[in-house]
Amino acid sequence: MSSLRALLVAGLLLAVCGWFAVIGQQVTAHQTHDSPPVEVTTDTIEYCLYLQERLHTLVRMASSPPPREATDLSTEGQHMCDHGQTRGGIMRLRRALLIMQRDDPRIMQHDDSPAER
Amino acid sequence: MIDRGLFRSAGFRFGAIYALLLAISATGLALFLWWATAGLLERQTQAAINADAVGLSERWREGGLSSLIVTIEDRLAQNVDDDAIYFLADRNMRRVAGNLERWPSNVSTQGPLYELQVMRAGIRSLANVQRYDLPGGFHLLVGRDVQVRAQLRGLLTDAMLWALLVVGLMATAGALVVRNLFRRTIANISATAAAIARGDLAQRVTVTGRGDEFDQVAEVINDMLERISRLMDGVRQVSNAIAHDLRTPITRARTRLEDALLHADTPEAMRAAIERATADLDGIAAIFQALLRIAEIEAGSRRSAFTRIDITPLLAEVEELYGALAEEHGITLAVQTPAEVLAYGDKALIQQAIANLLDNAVKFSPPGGTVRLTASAGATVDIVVSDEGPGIPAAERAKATDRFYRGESARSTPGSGLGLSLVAAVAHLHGGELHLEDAKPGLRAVLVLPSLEEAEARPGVLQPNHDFIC
Repeated sequence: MSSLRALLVAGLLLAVCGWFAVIGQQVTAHQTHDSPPVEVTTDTIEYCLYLQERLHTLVRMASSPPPREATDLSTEGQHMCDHGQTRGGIMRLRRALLIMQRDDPRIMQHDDSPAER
Repeated sequence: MIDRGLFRSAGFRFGAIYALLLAISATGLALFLWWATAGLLERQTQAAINADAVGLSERWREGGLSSLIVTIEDRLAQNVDDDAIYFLADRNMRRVAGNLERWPSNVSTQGPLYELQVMRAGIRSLANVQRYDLPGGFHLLVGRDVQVRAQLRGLLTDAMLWALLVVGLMATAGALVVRNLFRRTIANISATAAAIARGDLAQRVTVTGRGDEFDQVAEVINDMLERISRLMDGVRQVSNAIAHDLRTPITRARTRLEDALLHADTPEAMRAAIERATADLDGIAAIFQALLRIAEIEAGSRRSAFTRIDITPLLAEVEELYGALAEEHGITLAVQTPAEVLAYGDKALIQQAIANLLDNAVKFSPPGGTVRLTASAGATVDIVVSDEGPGIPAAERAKATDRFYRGESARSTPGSGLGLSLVAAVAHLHGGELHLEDAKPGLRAVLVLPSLEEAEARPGVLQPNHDFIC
């Protein structure tokens, strides 16, 4: 019976450790479900327009014509935003911005872009 | 109510151990998978937030508020993954920069990671955010949208729970199989034991031939049963032999005493009859003495007297003892031994065994014959006595060491039939054997003892005494 008891104790310990390991990761994130959700402002048509304005500014400041890929993404983004596909449009505008900043370092405003996550 | 006998069942215990082992292994694997998937995603989110916060705080130190605002706007504009959450608030919690419409009221302290409900283009989503208090009463919120990761975690949790259910079912089924296997294997041994308990000593445990542990146990049990069977046969044979062989001398003694009572006319005749009867009874007592001695040897109680011995001087003593007797019968006793033959055992018993062999050889050798006594030491210690007598037929040699065995040629010679039994018992006590062979003509008896090294290497042997007993 001693081996059975040892196994039972080992199983119990493993279960407790596992429980704390799994739950422990979640208890660090405090729940705020009782408060109303907060609106994210970068999914709106206003932000879409803001990004378009930034792109136009970059194009004006650029020493050479913008790359074809950036122009296509910008046009596509604007089109999607105009047709209500705001998040998809914003994503394309952001990629167009990144391409323009990558290809013309003089228009880089900041060099602290966060790493890809 | 749970049957207590169930927990005492070894089959149940083996089954339970199997189920528990499987469950523990599966749980360990599930925890590792969780840690390597969902856990990794959570750790990555936390690391990204920390790295982001460090970068922003450097901007604050280098360029102050304006630099921090520009950096936040740039990062939001470059956030292709569309998961970044920033909010910079003044001392009154009014928005300065970022992509939340207001400061979430529940995020009140710096340090812990908060799980925040957010609305993205009209769809409810989940984010993890962390608060950082800046100099000048400003407050910064940095976070990540973790809706996709939360969904993935949910899927993983569901999969794990289903897997646990499957493992539970498999463990239960496996435990039943293990229990039944164990029961089936034990049933063989149990049935044999039950049959023997009922008196059927011929039953044996079936050996499957797989050579596994159960086969080994079966073989050991069968060997044990064989030994018990042989011993019981021996007891039966000895009982029969005692009843048969001792009846004659007892009857003879009784007849002599009765005859003396009825017909002895003189005190001398009466004395002579009593003396003859006493001699008969002494013979019976000697037989019992020999039987007891064999029993004592077979019990192994003489092992405490074991020590290193040299066989050569023993043979010299026996030669001296039996030389005269052989000469009396017109027989030549030829002894050939090396200078030293070392063995490990009881000196008195070995000497008695050799004496018994010589006694038989002299008794059965024809006048003018030669009895040879030799000893040699190699892988074993061999003491050989050969004569030129009638020998023992090959078919009867196996029985020759049984108690009270008398061959056809020995019917006319005096003896009790216990001599070779004692020699065999001495050989077994020393871990050796007695071989009876055809000397063509005659009998060749070989007393084989283990070599000194082998005997001393056996477990239970005391530290050897280096003073030789000669």
